[in-house]
This record gives sequence, C-alpha cells and structure tokens, in this order.
Amino acid sequence: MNKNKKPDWSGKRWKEMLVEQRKFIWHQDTIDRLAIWLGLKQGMTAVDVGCGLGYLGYTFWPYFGKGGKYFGIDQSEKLLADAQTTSKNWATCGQAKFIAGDAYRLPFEDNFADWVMCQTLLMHLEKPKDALSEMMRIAKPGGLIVCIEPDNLSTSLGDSYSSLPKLGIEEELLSKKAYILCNKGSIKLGRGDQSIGNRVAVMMKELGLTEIDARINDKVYFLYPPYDDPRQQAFLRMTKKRVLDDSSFWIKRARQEFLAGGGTANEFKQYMKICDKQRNAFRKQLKNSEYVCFFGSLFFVIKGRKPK
Amino acid sequence: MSENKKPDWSEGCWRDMLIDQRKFMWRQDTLEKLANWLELKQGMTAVDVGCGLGNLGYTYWPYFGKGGKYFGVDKSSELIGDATLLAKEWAIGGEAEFMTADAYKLPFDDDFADWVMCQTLLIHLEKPRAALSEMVRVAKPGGLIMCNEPDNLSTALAKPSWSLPELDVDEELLIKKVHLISNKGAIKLGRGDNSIGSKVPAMMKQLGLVDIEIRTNDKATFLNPPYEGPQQQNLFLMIKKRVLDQSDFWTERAREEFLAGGGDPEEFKAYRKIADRIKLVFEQQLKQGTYAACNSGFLYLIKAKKPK
Repeated sequence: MNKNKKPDWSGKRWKEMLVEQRKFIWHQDTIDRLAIWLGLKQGMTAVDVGCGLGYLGYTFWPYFGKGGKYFGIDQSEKLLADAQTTSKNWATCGQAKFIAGDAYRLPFEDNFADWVMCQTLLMHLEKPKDALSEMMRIAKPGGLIVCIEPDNLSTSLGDSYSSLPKLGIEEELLSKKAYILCNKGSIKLGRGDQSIGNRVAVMMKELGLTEIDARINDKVYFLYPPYDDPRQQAFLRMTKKRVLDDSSFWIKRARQEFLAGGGTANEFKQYMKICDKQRNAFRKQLKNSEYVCFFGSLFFVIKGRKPK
Repeated sequence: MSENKKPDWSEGCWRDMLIDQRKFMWRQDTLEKLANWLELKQGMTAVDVGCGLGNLGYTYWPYFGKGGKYFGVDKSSELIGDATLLAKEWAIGGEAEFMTADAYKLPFDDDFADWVMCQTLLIHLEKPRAALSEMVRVAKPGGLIMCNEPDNLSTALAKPSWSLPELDVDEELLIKKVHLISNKGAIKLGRGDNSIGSKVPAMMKQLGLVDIEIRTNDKATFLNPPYEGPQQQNLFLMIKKRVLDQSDFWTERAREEFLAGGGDPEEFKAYRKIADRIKLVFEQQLKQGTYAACNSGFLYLIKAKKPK
C-alpha cells in the first residue's frame, strides 16, 4: 500500500496520464483568455510546483517567456530530466530550469517569484494547505498564486448522460456511496482529496491571500461513434485504458480506499458487481460502435495574490 | 398541482429568476470568446425560443445586431410586453420583435433563421426533443442551433459546500436519493428534466445535426464575506431568498416530485429533518455573514449545425 500511496509519476501508467490527459485539456482560446485574466506579462519569474513534464511552462510560455524565467519543481528526477530535454524546444528567449524538490519545502527564498502555480498537485497531497502556504512563502508580495485543481468527486457524483444502461436507484446510490467512501479513504491514506478544487479558494482566504477569484475549464468531452476526430480518439483511448486494460490496478486502489473510508468488504463486492455489469456493457457498445458519452467536469482555476 | 406544473414566468420567484440569475450569468470575456466560437456575424436573423425578457437578445446583440433581426418567442404575453419595452433600449441598429407562441409550434416558415437558440428552455419542457426538432425546422440549412441548458441534477448531486456541516454518509446518500427520485418525478409531471444539459448533444446527434460541440460556462463565484460588490451581493441575495424566504415553496415542489417519482413519504420526512438541520446552520451563517463557498455548476452551451 505504501508504494501506491506515493505514485511514481515517471512510471508508465502515471506518466501516460501526464501526456495523454494534457493533450486536449484546454481550448486554445481559453488559454488566451486566462493569460489576460491572470495578468501575465513577458519577463515574469514563475515557479511551477509538481511540474511533471513542464506542461504549464510550455502552455503559458507565449505569455510570459520573453525574458522570462520558469522553474519547474518535481519529486521525480526522471520526469525532470525529460522535461529539461523537451524544454529546449519551447523555452526560447527565456530560461526554463527544472529542479528536484519537495512541495512542502521549496528550494527558493522567501519572496522569490512573480508567479507561483500548480496543476493537479494539491489533489494528491496529504497536506494541501501546507503546500499552498509554501507556495505563498516564495511568492513576492503582490505576487500571483494560481492553482488549477479539479473537483473530481463532484464530477463522479453527477448524473451525466451516457449510453450505458441506466442503473436502478439502489445501484446508483451504492455507486455514489463508493465514490464518497473512496474519497474519505483516500484522504485518510494520505492520497489526497479528489474534491480539493472547490476548497482551494477558501484555503487561500484562510491563508490571507487577496483578490481571490475562480473560473472553470470550459472543456467538455462528447464521445460518439465513429469517434473520428483526434480529440475523440484521445478521450476514447484514455477511457478504454482506464476502464478495460488497467481496471485491476484501479480496482485494487479503490478497494483500499473504500475500506479505509469505512466501507465493508461485502459492500465493495456489491459495488464491483455493478462495475462489472457496466464494464461489460461498455465493451459491447464499443465493439458495436454504439457507445455515447457526455463528460463535463468541474476543473477550477483559482487565483489569488499575496498581500503587499 | 397543475398551477405548479406550468410556472407563470411573469411573476413571483419565477420572474425573479429571469432577472437575478441572468445579471452575472457569464463573464464578459467569455461572451466575447463564445461569439467568436459561435461564428456570429452582424446582420444575422436569430430566433430565441422561450426568450423571457430577451436576455439572449441583448447579451449577444453587439455580435449580430447591426442590420440583424432578433425574434423573441415566449408563451407569456406579459413577458413579451415587458421584453418589447426593454428592447427599445438595446435593439439599436437592427430589429427586435417579440411574439407570443408555443415552443412546439414556432410561428416561422421552414428554413427561416440563421441562428435558432434557447436558454434554460428545454429543462422545463415535457417534450424537449420535440421542441429541439422544431428549432431545427425553422433553421436554414447550414444554420446554427444553440442550446444553453444546465445539468442541475449533477450540480445538486455534487459535493456539498464545504462551509456547511459534514453529514454522515447515509444522510448524504438520502439527500442524493431525493434528488434522483424527484427528478424522475419532475419528468413524470411534465415539469422537465433537470439533467437535460448533458443529454442535448445526444439528442442533436439523433436529430441528424452536425458539428456538435459543447462548452461549459466557465463562471465560478467565490462567495466570500463580507460579500462586497454587486456580483457578490446578487448571489448572496439569491441564495438567501431561495434558502430562507422561498424555502416552503421549493420544499412543496420537491415533495410533489419525490412522490410522483415513486418515493416513500416517510423517507421524505427523514430527508426534511436533515435539510432543516442544514438550513438552520445555513441561516445562521448567512445572518452572521460567515458563509463562504466557491460556487459553480454545470451550465452547458451546446452548438450544432443543421445539415445543408
């Protein structure tokens, strides 16, 4: 369990997420608007905590990279090496540097950066508020803090349309119970809070940040046969991988979390029966090119400023 | 019940909704982006079904109104009267006309408009698909169909706001059960499907529309004491009105829907006990000005084209 507790993001399964999930994560015009909304300027000094392959760096580089400095921090040396290599392709006219470090003890002095950011970092941490407070420490007075974090629990609890057979009310409630218990368990196990996105703004306020404001990523996936554009293909690949190929890995994790969250082994079995049923239906519909799925999520962009 | 079944949007809490909810519904920069994404052009002929006070008309007027024609259709002649008066203020450089009519039988020839739109219309209809099909009929071949429809069921099922007391898992599940069953009941009573937003794209697909794409409203509001500024005040008052002043009205509707959906009256009582307990805390937090939450929901903007 200890190995699961801290995923190795340079390992195959996790790293794939860093690559696949990020391919179509934003509309380009949304990024343009965000850059204005965040007040990005060329020449900024930016720190990206839990940078992975440097995604936020190359995504926002056009808006701050001219004469700018980007520092990507991650635990994984392997990811950092890859990120450093690929940054040669995008970090032109400025500097990008990747440094191994701990989100709770960032390797920077107080008041160091104009802009400190993270994406899907806090949701994986045992002490998200400590990490946020550390981000704040290294920001300059008046500096910008940006957290891009989802509320995946709320997304799971929703009732979005899909072509899979509609569950009975008791089955549906058991599924929802499983989501709630797994998240409680995940928090207990130190794997992080899947619904962190809707708490960050409040945490920022408690830490004394000002000018707090939030937006949602406006991206929505709608998957329908023949799944013939690249976005649909990528989304379908991800869904297939998670639901079919890697199912035993995710089930094992979910079971640990479900039990840690206070669920019983018997209930988990019942829940698995529902999942099996849905998985079989999914497989069949894919095969017959009948699977349709609508996927909207709550993916927050929250900004705040360190007081002057 | 039949009075409840077809709300009179020209008065009381329904009319309030048309005004208060729409004041800050979208961010200005989002609207600009959307106008671009929708490929709006000056001079378009537009039909807005269930137009209410003409909100979509005046919201998008800057992007199509020069030489443009806007036809607002609503079943309430009182709203149409008010909307006509209001339009004198904004419909400059083009024409805005309002007429009383039924969403299932629009007063236009086939292939009439460049753009046919609705907002929070389908969510209230007994036969949303028939209304959508009627919108398609009046659109020109190649014309734009736009539906702004929420998935309020998913929003209701989402993780509750953090500042309210944490509930037992069983209590939380009972609340979700009431939402799920009430929505079934609302559909049965002909009051519409609260989760319609996530279903519209699949309906469009079935009706043969092409180029279907979806975005979410990217608005999130961090409601934060002392609730300064017009936007915070507006949201604060809206929540207060709904939770405190109009609570009996909404409870009665929910009860009707829950029973119509096959729910057990005893369960509704148990649900009310929990809801009343939360309401007390909520009331206190609102009065003391301690309530804080990052609010957002699932409001989808769905666009498609009628095939040429």
